[in-house]
Amino acid sequence: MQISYNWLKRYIDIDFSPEDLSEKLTMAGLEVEALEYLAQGLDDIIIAQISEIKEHPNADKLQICYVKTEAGGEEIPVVTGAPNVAKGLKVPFAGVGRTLPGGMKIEEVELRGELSQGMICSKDELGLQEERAAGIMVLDSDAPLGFSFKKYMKLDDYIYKLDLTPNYARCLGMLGVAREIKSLYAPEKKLIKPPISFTEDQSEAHISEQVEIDIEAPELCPRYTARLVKDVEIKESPEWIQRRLKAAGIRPINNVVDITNFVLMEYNQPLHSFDYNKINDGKIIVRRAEKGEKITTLDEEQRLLDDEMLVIADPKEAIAVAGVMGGFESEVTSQTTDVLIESAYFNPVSVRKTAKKLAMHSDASHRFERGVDIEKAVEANNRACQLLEKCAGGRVVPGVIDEYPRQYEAAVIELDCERVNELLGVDLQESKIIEILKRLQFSVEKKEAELLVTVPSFRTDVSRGADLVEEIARVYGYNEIESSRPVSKQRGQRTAKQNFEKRVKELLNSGGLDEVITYSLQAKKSYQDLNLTEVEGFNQFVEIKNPLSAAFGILRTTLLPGLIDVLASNARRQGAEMAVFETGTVFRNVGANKRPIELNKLGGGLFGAENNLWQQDAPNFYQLKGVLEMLFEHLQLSDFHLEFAEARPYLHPGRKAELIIEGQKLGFIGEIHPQLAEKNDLPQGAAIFEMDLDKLFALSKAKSYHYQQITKYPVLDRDLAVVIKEEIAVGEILQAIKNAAGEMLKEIKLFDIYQGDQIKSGYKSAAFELKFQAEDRTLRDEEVNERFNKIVDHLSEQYSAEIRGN
Amino acid sequence: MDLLKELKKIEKEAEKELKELSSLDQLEELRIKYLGKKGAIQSIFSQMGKIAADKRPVVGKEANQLKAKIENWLNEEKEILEAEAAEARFKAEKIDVSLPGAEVKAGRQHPLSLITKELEDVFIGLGYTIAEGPEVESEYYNFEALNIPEHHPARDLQDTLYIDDHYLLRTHTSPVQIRTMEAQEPPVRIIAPGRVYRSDELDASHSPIFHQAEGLVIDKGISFSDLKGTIELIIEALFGEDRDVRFRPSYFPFTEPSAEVDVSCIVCGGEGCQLCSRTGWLEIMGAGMVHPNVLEISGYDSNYYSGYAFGVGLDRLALLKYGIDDIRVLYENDKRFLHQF
Repeated sequence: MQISYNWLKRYIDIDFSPEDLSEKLTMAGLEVEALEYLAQGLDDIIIAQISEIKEHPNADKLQICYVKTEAGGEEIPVVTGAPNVAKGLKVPFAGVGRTLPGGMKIEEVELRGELSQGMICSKDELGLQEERAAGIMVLDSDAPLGFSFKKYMKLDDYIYKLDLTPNYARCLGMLGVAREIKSLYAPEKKLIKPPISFTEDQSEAHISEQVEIDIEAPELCPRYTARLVKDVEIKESPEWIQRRLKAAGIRPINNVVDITNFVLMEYNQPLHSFDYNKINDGKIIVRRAEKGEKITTLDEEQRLLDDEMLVIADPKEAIAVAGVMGGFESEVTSQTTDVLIESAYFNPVSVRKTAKKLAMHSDASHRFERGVDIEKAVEANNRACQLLEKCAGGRVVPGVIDEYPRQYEAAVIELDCERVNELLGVDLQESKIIEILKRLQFSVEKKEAELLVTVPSFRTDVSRGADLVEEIARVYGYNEIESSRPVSKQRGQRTAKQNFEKRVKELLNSGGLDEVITYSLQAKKSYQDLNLTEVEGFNQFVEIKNPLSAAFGILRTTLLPGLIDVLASNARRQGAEMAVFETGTVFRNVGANKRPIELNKLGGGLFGAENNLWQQDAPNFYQLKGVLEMLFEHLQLSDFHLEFAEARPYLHPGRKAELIIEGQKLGFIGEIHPQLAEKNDLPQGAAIFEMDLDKLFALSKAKSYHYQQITKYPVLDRDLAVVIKEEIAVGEILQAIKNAAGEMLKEIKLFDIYQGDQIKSGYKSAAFELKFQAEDRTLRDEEVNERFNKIVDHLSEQYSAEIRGN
Repeated sequence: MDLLKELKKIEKEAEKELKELSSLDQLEELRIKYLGKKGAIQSIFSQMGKIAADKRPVVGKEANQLKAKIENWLNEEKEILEAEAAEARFKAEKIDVSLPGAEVKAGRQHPLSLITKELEDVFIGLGYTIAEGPEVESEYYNFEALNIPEHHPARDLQDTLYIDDHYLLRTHTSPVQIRTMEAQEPPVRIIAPGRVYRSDELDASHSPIFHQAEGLVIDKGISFSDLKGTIELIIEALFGEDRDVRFRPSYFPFTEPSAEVDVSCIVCGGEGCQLCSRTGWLEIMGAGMVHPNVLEISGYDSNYYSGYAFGVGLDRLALLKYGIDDIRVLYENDKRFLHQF
């Protein structure tokens, strides 16, 4: 919705400046998205005349125009390349020292040796059109010499682009906006109603003898009015109508169409004009379409209708889709002489459904959907007749047809003033509330403690007390209401799970991982690129029915693609290292029309780690594993280990594992498969993990802190280096040592892995540091030695381990 | 032989030599020379037999006194020399404090998390609990229960991404209002941050995926003025005390009265600049009194209870608060961006 300041002033003589009005509209709830001054930058442009043209002596494509800005005035030379200059033309002109709308200042210049002291402007240079004009703008020959261009063009106007919410249907017309301004800001001003008087041509038979209206579906069309105007001359509308329509963003077409649009903009009442002579038998039937019925609409598209849609038909066929768009056959053309003007009320839901189904959103359907003022149908029709008589030379046939099978019944709302005050937190007198409602044209009666408020017909948005409360607040002023805060009776807090997630994030941060947030809508192609489409779970895609693009076509089933994309894009930007994690929802399809499963996942990955731990040439893997070990230790989940993974084709076949916590598989960790890394621009060896956050929470839930006495007895250290077959997992040995050592062993740490010259081939050496300690006494060397030997015996029995350096 | 003279001589010599001392090694040599088993004092004692018996006590006493004296001198001198040596050693251990410290890598919080947590903490302080809901929603929770019937123009306010005939991606966090009301009786006091989806093309200010936080308070006697006070407090917490706040009428199907909340521009302070489109104001959130239809649909008595609700775009909040000019930056996760927070 777009309105002009000058046009609005025709309906209410406001004193506010254009800027002030903009603020007032916004604060009234009619949000001004943009305010545009039509004559922006045109102050310096005046009307000049080309009095003489000379060839440019040094350039074929240039000419020298001599222009004057007053009769008998000085002739100013202007060098121009415009092809359409001619002697005698009136043109917009900017002299030396003047400024163009773009901010360019005109200076005296020499163009190929010839003096130029100004500029004859084209439309685009004046900001009147976007695209480059072919030549200068030519004005009418009667344009007054030396006169202000913007005033001559009537450009001294402001345009407000309003973003109207659905409850402001009444403001989709100029009169409605004027009424709103009056109610809120200028109750003393009078609304200036448009003239609606015209002469009915008594030589014509009454309209009821020429036109018959039959409403077959009153539930969809409670009111239908028609007037007939004969002998109209189809031509361009007068300049003022065209100017108003352009200001409203409507393209002028011809006088009849323009007049219907003009009245639509005035009254917020969509009208339709039919070529009367193309209506068979002069009979209009308002009925539901038949299933499969077809109509060609104004835009020359053939539309397939169904029985939920309302059409305007003659006895032969449908001639318009009611409230949405007229039919091509009955359209007003340059041959039209007699027009039938329709002004009706159509059911909002029906119009909306129809417009949606046919994908035809029109100015008319937009208004009918939101509800027009059913009581103003005849007045709007009369206004159209007045204009047709005045601007199209039409003869108005006597009488109006007004079929009104479902009479409007005003809603009456009971309003409790005490409740109003309670809801708003104010203390308004009943009389004040009544005054406010009356200003808004509600009628109010008192009934015991309550008010009976009758809703005017243009307030299609008001149906219950809350709506009135808003109106009262709006007029009283939202910003006049004092601020307070409700007293809290309960304690604010996060749930245990929310606290857990917060802690996990903090721990991962402290482990050096940056938190990332990636899109949960993704391209299926990313899953193909990462070999994930065959993976159980990961392939349970939830597809979007109406995606924006393939890039946002599915919901993520795992955090992997997002994480890998983050790692890859940072690597591409020459990041040498990156370590990230994300928590978020993934979605799994469990069958059509079933609610997809939502899982809360934690994932992460890194590349660029440098510590070649254990000489495994897998620094990223062990770095990431280390971060997770730290996380689990802090979460008191000590029973954690990795188990080599058999499946998971997206990971390096030799470097992938299942994450096992307290016997449960919670996720995986591994290096991205080298070929996938290559294909996805990821550094080789990048490591990644994902696990179920809710399951992790469930496992950690029972854990709580409990202090344990700190032992005061000394620690006895022993180092143990064993040589084992290289295929034996060190973790297994570590576990075996723990088992054999019993409680006395307080701590065990691997400190070296060795393979090489000093060890026979096919074997490796693993060196551990063991710390022995008792809770209740100082351990004796012999005790520890005895236990140490037991460990050694156990290892040699179970793993044929040899003790190195013993 | 005059041992007493001898002692005097020793004393003089020792005093002289001690004065010339410059190292701990020399000090040790002197100690041996005078106090050692074959030292000067000892030699006096060993000559005692050669003198008259009656003189022995006198000489003995003098010799012991001198021994103690020298010992004292040596100790004093030792302390000084040790202090000097330590001083010298510390000087030699001087380091270049300008060399960089060890690299300790701590990860960063994503700015969206940062702002969400900040907001949550303010609300927790006000007695709110944090509520959550699914991202895939039914028509009922996303629209109908929020007073947005199927064929109402209000449906156009949000372009929806659908999964099938029953389910869609929630277009706002407001369904959590309904889920909360279904699950509990008043009083209700929640804040529900979460991810939401719209069919909006990705550009500098729009993203099909973004984040909102929904607030809902329902109790007996909750008023529009309570809503105003709460929102003003939040804006003060997030943007400081110097911001002006204004409420203007707006429309949300699930609130009535409804308001749009503007805050005076954080860049120009109200003068008008590019960020605020020269209006001096920034639209920051939507709010209103819970529509009685919404209360009733969820089984609350709208004549007894009342409530307010508000919804704020977290991405927009982060953009404004941290001066980010493109929403896409939030989801690109460039390390150089993440490491600014």
